[in-house]
Amino acid sequence: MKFLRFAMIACCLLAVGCVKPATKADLFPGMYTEQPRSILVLPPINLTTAADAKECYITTVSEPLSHKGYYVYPAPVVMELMQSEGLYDSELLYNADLQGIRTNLGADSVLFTKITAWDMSYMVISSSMTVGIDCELRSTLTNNVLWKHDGEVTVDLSGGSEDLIVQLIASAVNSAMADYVDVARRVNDITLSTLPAGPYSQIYLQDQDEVLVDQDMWGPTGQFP
Amino acid sequence: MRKFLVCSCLLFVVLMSGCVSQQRIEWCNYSQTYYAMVKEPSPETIKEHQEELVHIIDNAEESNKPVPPGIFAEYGYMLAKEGYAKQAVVNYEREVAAYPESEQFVAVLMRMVTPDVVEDSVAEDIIAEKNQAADRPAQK
Repeated sequence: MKFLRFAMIACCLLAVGCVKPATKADLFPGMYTEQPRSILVLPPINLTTAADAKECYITTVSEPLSHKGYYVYPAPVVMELMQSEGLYDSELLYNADLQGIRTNLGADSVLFTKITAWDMSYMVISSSMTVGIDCELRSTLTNNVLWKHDGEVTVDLSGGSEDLIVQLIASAVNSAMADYVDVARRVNDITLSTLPAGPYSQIYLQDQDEVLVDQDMWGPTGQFP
Repeated sequence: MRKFLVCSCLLFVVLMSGCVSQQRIEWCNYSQTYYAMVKEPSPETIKEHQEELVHIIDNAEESNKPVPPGIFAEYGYMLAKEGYAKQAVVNYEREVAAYPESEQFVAVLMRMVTPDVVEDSVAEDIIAEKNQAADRPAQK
């Protein structure tokens, strides 16, 4: 009996040992040295064929970022300003020097978002919706990547009820875009959980030791695909 | 027994209402109205979103919570577009007061207000704007 208990504990320890633990400070040191206070969310870069994914996704970003404790620039105003400056395609800014954004608008950091998936797949008896977002927070002081994360969420829409056909048609016609926004919110929740807390958060600069796993995927040194 | 039931009911209600206001910052239906405005930009959806901004500000002030970042600036920007320059400036100033990070950004928005004021030909507004324009270089 005692042996069993020991074996179980040993198993647990081994399992823990297998994952490479890394803290937020290890993965995103720039966040703690530069301590950005404000985030300007650039118009999303749309890599999918869905025409309105860009506009839909931008409506979901400000809220979770503010809950994280950052000053977030008002998205509709930024979108309009960028449009009038001819910078609506953030691809143009990606390799550019971001210091202009600091000197003109005062933002400490900018958030590049790439929509990598935005589609609904219809099967005979089930349908699912996938939204994928890659985020990269860049400093406007050093152009360095401060934080990055790729996230994708697939939601199964088949409820398994007898009105399956009715449901399918309903989800395809009526609520499709609204559902996308809901899925995008869930992607944001997952993605932003790894972002260190901002100055308006109660745990500002106290989450350095929070452990994240799978650092290979999130490493700040990795290239934005 | 009945007392216990009532108590537990009350506790449940208190806990439930606590859940609603768990977040430090309350955005109400912001993303819904913003989404509607983006999807179908019409005077109705724009007005609805503007009313939602007012609602968010009122709600935050009633519950003694901070107004979400950018809301004052966005509301001011919408007012400026409609020609209410004076009101716009008031909201821009409130944004800076609530979030000092926004100072430079709001200064850009302030500069965009001026032409509207002239079109309005409201003497007071022009004077207020000129004063601000005079103050600005001094601040920097």
